[in-house]
Amino acid sequence: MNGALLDRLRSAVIDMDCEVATSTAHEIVSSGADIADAVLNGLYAGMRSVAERYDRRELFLPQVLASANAFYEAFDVLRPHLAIEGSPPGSKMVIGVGEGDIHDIGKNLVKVMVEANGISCVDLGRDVPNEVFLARIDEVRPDYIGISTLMTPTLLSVKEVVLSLTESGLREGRKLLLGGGPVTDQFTKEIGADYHGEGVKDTIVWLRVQEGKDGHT
Amino acid sequence: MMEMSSLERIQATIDGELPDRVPVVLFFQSAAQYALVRDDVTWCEVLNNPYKLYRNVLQQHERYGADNFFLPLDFRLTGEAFGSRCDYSMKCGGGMRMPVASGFALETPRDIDRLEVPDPLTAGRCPVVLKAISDLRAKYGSKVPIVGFLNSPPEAATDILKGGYSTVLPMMATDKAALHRLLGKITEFNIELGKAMLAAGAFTVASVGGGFNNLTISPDQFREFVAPYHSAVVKALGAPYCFHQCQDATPFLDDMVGTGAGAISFHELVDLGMVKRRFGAQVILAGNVGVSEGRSVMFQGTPIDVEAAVRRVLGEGMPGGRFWLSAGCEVHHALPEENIHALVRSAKKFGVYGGGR
Repeated sequence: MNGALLDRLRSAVIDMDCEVATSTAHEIVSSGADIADAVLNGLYAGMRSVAERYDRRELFLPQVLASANAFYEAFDVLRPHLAIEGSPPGSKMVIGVGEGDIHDIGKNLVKVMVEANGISCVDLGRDVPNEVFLARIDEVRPDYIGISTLMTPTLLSVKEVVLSLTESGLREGRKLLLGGGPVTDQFTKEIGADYHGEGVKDTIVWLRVQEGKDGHT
Repeated sequence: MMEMSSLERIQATIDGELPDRVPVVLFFQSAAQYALVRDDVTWCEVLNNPYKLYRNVLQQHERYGADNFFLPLDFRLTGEAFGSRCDYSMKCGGGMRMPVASGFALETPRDIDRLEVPDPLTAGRCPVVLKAISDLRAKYGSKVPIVGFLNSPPEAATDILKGGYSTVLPMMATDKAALHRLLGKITEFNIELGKAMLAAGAFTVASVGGGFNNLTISPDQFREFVAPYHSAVVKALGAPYCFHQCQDATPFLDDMVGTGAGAISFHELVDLGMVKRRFGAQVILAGNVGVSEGRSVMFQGTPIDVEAAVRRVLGEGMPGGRFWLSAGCEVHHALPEENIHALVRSAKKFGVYGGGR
């Protein structure tokens, strides 16, 4: 891989530049370069750098989401070529915001970083009814289930999803992680979830450990 | 010594005088539906019918005895006035459904310049709100202050522009000029709606910053994209304005006070004692009995716990006056009703100054 192309791709993500990210991705595809290398050491590396600065509170969500836009625009160009190369399927996550809550910023941020760490995400969006969680989990058969809420009343919806997953047998063999302001370790334990992410960094570190990787974001 | 009316009590705090006791000012959102359930009406009905809205606001006041009439936090009102569409599909307990934006007035930021500022006297559900205020004023306005609600301009932008927060937040980094043009239009609307509310009989208006908080934006971004637009409304209205900020508003306090708002309201994460020391002489403080966190006292505690929490909050906020006892955020439907009663009762029991007419 041409190091200059990788640098440009990584910088485009960090600089929130969708146009350069997309044009560089096309250039990489047409050059016949290693697509997996471009994704890993260009796109993912750029997004990890952004996430680290976010963790240090040097950046906030406007910049992170703008970088994520650049990430996804380039990723959409590269992704089909990854599939053609027949890379083995990685882990999957189904993620969504509990019913009764339309706050999806945190969920979106976790999704970006989960995908930047090589786990594919099926995003159910926000205000997701219990039955939609169950149907899509049954269909996708993910390794991880992520549910978030920013609102205290919606904790009841989250609990309902977990109970339904257990009763239906869909909970078995899957890691369940929760996030969002009102979620506590105690609540997580009470309803039988596996992990409560205080923030994006914690969540990604935990996921990487589950994946047998190092505990860095 | 005579007991003050709610309006006299609130006015005393605005004038920097000690009232007979600490006023209780509550911002009802989904807890308003306790009254809806009793009346067997839906959110759709109450937000679209002035009489039902009037009756709902009145019932909250009569049942809980707070010192304000509060129009429910109607976050969708502005977006609908600008042409967005709502569905009453979001579950909020008890089989009830609140509105959520389902169709947006603007597909992309490129469309912002063609967006027209609607007339609040005719747009969307605004006439319903104005009529309810007018009816409340006609019957009770001389005793109880009516608080209208204006959605914070950045929050309203997420209801107008497709993609919501996922579109508006990145614009703060990469498309600032377009976002400022949109916020300017929303502020223009808020000013006119606020004036119409005051003309209809509202005593004050309140505004809430929700998703643009310390977890999402920096103090610089708050200073650039949030505070100036509240400041513009404050200047234009020339009436008491209460500015609530969700989550931990500590990094934004200087800018909140700098808007010129008559009162600032904040979440239980904020250190009330610190705010009292820094800003207690400048602005009315409203807060901040725990209601939002997963283990908050209003949500998980007993009435005895609530009473203890109220006493702690009063101990910090009450000295010297210029204080409204309030919950840290909206009074929502998952709260046990007895805890709402306990909060109001405790304020009346422990919040006595001894002033009065």
